[in-house]
Amino acid sequence: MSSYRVGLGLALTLFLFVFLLCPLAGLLFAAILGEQAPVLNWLTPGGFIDALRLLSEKGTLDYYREFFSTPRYYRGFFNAVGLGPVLVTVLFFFGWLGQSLFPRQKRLWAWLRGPGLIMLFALVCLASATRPLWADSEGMWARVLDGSTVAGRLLQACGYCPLVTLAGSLIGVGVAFCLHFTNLPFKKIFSLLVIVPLSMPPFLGALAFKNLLGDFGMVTRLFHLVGLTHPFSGQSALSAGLVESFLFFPFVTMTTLSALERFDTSLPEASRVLGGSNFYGYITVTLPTLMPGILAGSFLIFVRSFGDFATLRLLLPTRYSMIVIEAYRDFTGSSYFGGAAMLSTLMVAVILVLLALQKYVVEGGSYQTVSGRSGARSAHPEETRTPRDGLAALFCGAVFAVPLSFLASTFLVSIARNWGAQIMPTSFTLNRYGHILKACFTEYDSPLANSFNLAAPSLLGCVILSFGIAFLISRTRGRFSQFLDFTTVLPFVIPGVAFAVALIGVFNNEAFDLHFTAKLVIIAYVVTRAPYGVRTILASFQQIGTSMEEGSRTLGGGELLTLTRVTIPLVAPGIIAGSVMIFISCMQDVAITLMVAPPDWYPTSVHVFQEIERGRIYNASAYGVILFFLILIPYSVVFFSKRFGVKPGL
Amino acid sequence: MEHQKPVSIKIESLVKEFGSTRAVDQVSFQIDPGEFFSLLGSSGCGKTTTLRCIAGLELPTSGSIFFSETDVAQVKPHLRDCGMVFQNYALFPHMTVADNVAYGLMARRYRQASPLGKVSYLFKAVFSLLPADDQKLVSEVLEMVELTGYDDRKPQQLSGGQQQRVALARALVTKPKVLLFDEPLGALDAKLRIKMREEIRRIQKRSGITTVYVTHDQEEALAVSDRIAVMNKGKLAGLGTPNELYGKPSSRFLADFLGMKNIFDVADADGNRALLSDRTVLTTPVEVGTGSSVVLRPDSLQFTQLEAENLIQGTLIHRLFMGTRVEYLVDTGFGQLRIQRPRIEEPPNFNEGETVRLTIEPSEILVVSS
Repeated sequence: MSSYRVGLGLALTLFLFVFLLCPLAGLLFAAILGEQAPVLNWLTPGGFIDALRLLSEKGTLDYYREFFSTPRYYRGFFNAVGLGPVLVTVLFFFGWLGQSLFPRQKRLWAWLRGPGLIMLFALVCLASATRPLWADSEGMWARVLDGSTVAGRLLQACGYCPLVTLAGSLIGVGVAFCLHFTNLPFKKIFSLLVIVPLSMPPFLGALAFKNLLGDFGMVTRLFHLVGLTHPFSGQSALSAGLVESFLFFPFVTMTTLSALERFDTSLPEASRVLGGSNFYGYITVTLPTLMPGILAGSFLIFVRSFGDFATLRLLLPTRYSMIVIEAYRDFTGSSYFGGAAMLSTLMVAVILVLLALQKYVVEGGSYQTVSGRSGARSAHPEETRTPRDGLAALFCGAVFAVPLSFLASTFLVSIARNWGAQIMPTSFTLNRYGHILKACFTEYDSPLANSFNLAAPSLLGCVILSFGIAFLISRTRGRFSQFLDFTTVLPFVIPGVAFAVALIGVFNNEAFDLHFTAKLVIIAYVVTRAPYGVRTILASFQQIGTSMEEGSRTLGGGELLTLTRVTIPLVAPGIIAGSVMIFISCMQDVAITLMVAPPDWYPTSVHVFQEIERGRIYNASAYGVILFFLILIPYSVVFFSKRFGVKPGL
Repeated sequence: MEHQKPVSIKIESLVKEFGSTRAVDQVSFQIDPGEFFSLLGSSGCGKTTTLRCIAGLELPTSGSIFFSETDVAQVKPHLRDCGMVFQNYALFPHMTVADNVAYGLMARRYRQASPLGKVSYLFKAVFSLLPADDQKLVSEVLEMVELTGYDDRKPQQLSGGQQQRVALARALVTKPKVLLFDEPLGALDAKLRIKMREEIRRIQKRSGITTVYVTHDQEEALAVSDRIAVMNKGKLAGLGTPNELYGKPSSRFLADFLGMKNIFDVADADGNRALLSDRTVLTTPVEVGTGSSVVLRPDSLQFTQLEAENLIQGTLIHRLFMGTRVEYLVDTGFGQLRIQRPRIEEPPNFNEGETVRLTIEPSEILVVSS
């Protein structure tokens, strides 16, 4: 390996070590110390001794014990991930362990893995629904399953995030199947609309939801007018779940569509010839073959809903504990760093377990199509439309109506002069947009200007980092490449609140004082957004292979000439696509920015969030609409430009 | 394994249109019970579409398909009781070999069960819990294709030839009425292809299932089939046993497609005498029409020094040494001729560029319609 590759590898490793691995290690230490753990300071010889002394004096598992004794902690945990999924995962783990220890008991493990897990889950649901019948009102079970209604306790048994994931996946798969298998009217428009929910920051959805269905929302008033009520309210788990499912479903739609494109149509045909009816084939062949694609999207929904601090904060009732909000509360409200760190480690652990599970399912299935010439025949599109196509259009229309109505209502609020008790505002103004744009160009630290000031250097840093990592992953083999591959997935899946807590723990002391600086926000953006760049650039690298670089080398081009004249121009589409993903993701961030940025110096996303919290919804809406288009425009350019060849959207 | 009584297949005036293109055009033929029947043709000739119509994967635009006495043309594929081996095998990548092979068995159990039983079988199929009877059948059929012990592998852990055997086992295990092959050997290398086609032939004869085999490889079709139907542009171009087809092709297309060399149009004819484009006269065993062509088999042409019947003159372009025989390329007034002679017979003093004289026995000349 040439020396500059070694140098690049060392530099990247150092960067990831300081800004990713050390903060994560610091998080774990903080959770057992109860205070910020300056891990970087410990790396000096003297610091190491200090660290050992500190750990032996103060090291304790009390914070983890506290998890079991503090209701808002364990409730927050189980509300988020659910009692059922936790138990099922534990049983699955033991099943897997048993299978590796006693590989001969195949049938037992097959039973345990399938029907066993389902029965356990059903049992948990049944037990939760009937909790008052078998547990006294003071015991542990009564505190975990404290819902007052059957539905409330079932929600706790299944978990908020798994339910959102399920709902979002069902919608996403439904839309993908409609777009792929039917000849529905307005097909093109529907496939374009997929990017609308993706471009809408979830907290904007929360705001719109309140404007529409909240206690004083437009639809609520309309309902009252005709003497009806609806089951949603401004603050409930149902409302939050609805908003998140309808904004996150495109993750599954996109991964499912790309799985369907690669899908070998001879598989369902084989099923039919071998005696399986259409339905039987769907269940036993089509769905399982598409499952890795669907699960990849579902995983993203789970990660987003699990860490989506802003939406949950805006839409969940204050008494409803949720782990990410409890971590934030400990960190800001009560400055209880040990608790915040402990909860953050738990969040990271949940995500890691899920990551491992997903990897197991995808790789255990090892789902590449079997070798042999692809016999995939294109389905002959039927020219006439059937009632089925109409139903598909109806379904897609209903699904996309939700995010579109969010957008429309936000826009309506942003141009309303004021909005009293009427159903629709009576007079309109564009003044707010004028003020915002004027402020952007005249005031040094207007939210819009701040957004660009943060996004631009982050984008630059992130592109350099991700290009380097993608280059090394694709051009080296072995452990180092695997290490880089894994490390760069981490920041993408770790909840923003947890990563913010981790960063602050390491960079909030005399030696490394970066807390409340824009620098740390930029560093956090670079680290957490690198996966977007790495994935898209890596895809480009893998597409072009190494032969062109080798061609350049054999013609006498040095490493540098090859890099600048061959490699970079070839992966340029990937770099551009990745840049857009990085940019829009930076623009959307709330959790990290809110906790790390200097007080009262916030970019648009956080500004919108705070304006909503302060109840200044007109201003929030105007900023929100601008933010939406700032995201939508670059996104759609990449999404629809065939030239980039890379499907963005991790 | 015991099998049900073999069925005959009768195709009557089969037509299949995709939009404005007619993929299969008025095709009719009959396959006897237990016969190994091949559909041969170049790509796009409609052979695969015909097979897919038999399987039920395409509904014919018109025409009928009989399995014995029953018209199945409009019957859904899963009710036709066929077994099929696909070109890319179409093995289910998420299932083990055993689950793949047992697929048809479970699907039949599911179909025949009561509503509650359906739920239970679906559940068992999804979680791969095979009934003991099925497991026994799967082992039997895996033994037949020499894959014993591979039950728990995933298809992608097998070699191409092994995947092929799994596909074959999966098609056989339900003891179907009809066995269908869609270019099953296309993805294998030449050596394995020959081994597998012998295997398929052996297993088909042993099970006695009526078989339709689609291929574009004439050698493969000639080697395995009882009878062959050659298709061209959606129509039937020829039908017969391999011997009939190769020994007496009925048309110029057939002769060409079956790999025959030295086919020349007849410019003029007079009874048994054919006049080629350069006025060379050939005496043929049968009466020649003006629209016919003659086929001069490379191994029937002989070099001669004497005056003889059917004398052909030309210039030797080159000589290729091919192991047991030598191939000569001769430029004549009516086109280039290929001649194959055994190596030991090689005339010593032939140089490239020299004029040579050739002759052929009239009985060796094949006359086909153009």
